[in-house]
Amino acid sequence: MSDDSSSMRVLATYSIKGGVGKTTSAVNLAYEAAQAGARVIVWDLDPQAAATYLLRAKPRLKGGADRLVGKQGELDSHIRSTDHPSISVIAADFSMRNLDVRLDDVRKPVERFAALLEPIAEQYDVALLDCPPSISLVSESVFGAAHALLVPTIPTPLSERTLTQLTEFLATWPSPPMVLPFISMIDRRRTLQRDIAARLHVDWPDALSTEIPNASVIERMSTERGPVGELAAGSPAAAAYRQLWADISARLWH
Amino acid sequence: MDMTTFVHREHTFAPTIEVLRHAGLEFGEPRRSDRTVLDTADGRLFAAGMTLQAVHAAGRVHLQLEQVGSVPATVGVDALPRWVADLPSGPLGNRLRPLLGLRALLPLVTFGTRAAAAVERGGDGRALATVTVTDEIVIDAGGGVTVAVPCTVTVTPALGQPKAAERIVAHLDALGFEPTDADLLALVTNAAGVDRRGIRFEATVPLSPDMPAALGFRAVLVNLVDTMEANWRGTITDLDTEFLHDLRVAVRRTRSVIGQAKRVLPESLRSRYRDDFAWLAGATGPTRDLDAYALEWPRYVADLSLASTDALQPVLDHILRHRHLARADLVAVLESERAHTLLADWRIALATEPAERPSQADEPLGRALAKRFRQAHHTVLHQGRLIDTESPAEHLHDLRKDAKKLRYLVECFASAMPTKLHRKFVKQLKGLQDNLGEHQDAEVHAAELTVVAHELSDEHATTATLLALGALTQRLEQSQRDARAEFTDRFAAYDSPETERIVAGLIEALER
Repeated sequence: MSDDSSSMRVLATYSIKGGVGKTTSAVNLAYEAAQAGARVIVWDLDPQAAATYLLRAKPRLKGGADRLVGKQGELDSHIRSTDHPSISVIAADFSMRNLDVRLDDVRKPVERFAALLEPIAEQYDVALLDCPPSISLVSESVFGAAHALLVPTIPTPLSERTLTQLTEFLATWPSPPMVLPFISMIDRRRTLQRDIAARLHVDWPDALSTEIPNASVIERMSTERGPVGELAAGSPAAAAYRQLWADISARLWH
Repeated sequence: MDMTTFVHREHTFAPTIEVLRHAGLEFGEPRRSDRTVLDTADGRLFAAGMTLQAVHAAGRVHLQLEQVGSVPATVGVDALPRWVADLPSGPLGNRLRPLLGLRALLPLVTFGTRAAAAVERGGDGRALATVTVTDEIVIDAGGGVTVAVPCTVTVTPALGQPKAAERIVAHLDALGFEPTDADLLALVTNAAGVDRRGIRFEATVPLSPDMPAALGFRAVLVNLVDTMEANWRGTITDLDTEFLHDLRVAVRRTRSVIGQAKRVLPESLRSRYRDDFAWLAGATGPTRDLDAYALEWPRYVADLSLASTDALQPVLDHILRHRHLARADLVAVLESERAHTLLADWRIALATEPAERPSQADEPLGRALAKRFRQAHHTVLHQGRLIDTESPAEHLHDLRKDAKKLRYLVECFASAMPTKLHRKFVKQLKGLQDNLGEHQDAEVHAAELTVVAHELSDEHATTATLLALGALTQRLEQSQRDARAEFTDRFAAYDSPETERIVAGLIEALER
């Protein structure tokens, strides 16, 4: 992918660990990017299809994962509208559980996602890939396509450990994406969480400074199916995602 | 399936919504907004398939950018952008920045609307199509003129979901709504008499090497006077610097083509208008020179220290003051009786069959151009070959003028030449012209700075300003020396077998 200022930026909400806020971050960041003037496509790579659900798309891939990433695969015919005019989505369905197998069938699987995204690069400014929690061939193809990995990190020792595992893995990568961890689901009333968050910023100088709070409005997203910026624009959680996007775009577009 | 727009001969807003409610569509509350379509004077966004609107609604302003084959983008702004520097940071601004260049974003048309939307959804809540009813489209067509557009219904399918929209379209057809070829924006711009292509003139017009030479020369000159007139008002009102630039280039091309029209156009005609257009060119010169100065300024001070840049601010202010004065003189000329008579008479002269028939008037245009092209090319070669390291700067300036004449000739008559060879030739010539231009600009600007230094010292400028001015003058003089040092290589690239091959090909095509 090109790096000039008008070219599409590929971002992935990624973590080896599950339940850290990847999907809510993907949807909320897509919304904030659109509010900041970007045309955004969210590509749901997770067979749970949670991003698909939150964006009110149908969890169905015509032809399954093979038609998406297989030898004859392409993205364009799978793109769907969302309620937000500037945000489109490529939905996931249960066939995505076989994505690793499908990728294994194509030549240069690690470069596959980048090749699939190339033809739609003129149509969007930001591609947000919502990844399943694992480290697999799918992850490697994400690493091959992404400019940056946005890594939601909950303030627990275990979460820190998975971040270390990720960076150790990427250290062997020829041209790794930027790794941008950020604190997710923090409860600042808890001393341990505050301490871990503080340590993250010392140990990971590239970490984004904005923290996403553990907030009930984020939980409401699953019942009301929308980003917090729409559900509660004045809430601290909405402000946090707005600021998080500002931090990310400062890194992406200097 | 694309978006479809309908109108109805009888229904206004409320009845239209009522009819569609009966068809099962649930509309939200109507929203009012004022919209202004923005583009450059030469329609750069339109040419790129883009539509930029400033949407004023609920006390806020958003820029909305739509592009063919892409979803729309929207961003909130505090004020309408006019220049590249005013564009919002981020993706939307990044898409516009390379297109704008030096041009201003100008309001093309403003209109006020009331719109209500209904989203047709599937059983799982996903959007399938959006139906928008728009009414009260009052257009400010400029000069206090308002125009009305009928109530419209727009059906927009969701991506990859054509069926619901097709069903709604069929239903609207059955209800007596009439589909239009134009979308809402086209209806608005048509009603306001706005041509979104803007003013855009090529140097050349359709020509054939077989046509009579006089006919070809006249067609080129008519196109140039059209260009002057299209840029006249924008120059007077100073909408952006490109109006004057384009006006000035059209005047210079006109002078050059008149100069080349010996034995093609009557001598009496040539001598009168050569002088008149020299007067007009002279009037446009000072402001354009100062424009070029101001536009180059950021580059001149780019790697100076902040302190030096601050110290030079009085110099830039001085230049801008002079520009203001020069512009007043220019506007007086452009609004003068003499200027208006010149253009009107010139048009009549170009449209009138002359009694006098010069010797080459009826010869094929290609043959007439071949002679002139060969001559102009040889002049550049001859003058360039005489220049050595000892030659005075004036010789380079003279060569620059000769190269410019040659460039104007090939640009104005481009359509009579084979495209590929023409492009190759312009590339060869441009390499030389860029070098000569850098040399000239640096010299003129350095000389101007010396004058400014004298004037500012009379005005008690600070020592810091005068020192920074000295440093900047030295830098420009160095640029001039660099350009001079590069000249030999640049000229050699032009004075080459490759250029000769291209020139021979062009002449052969013209004479064929």
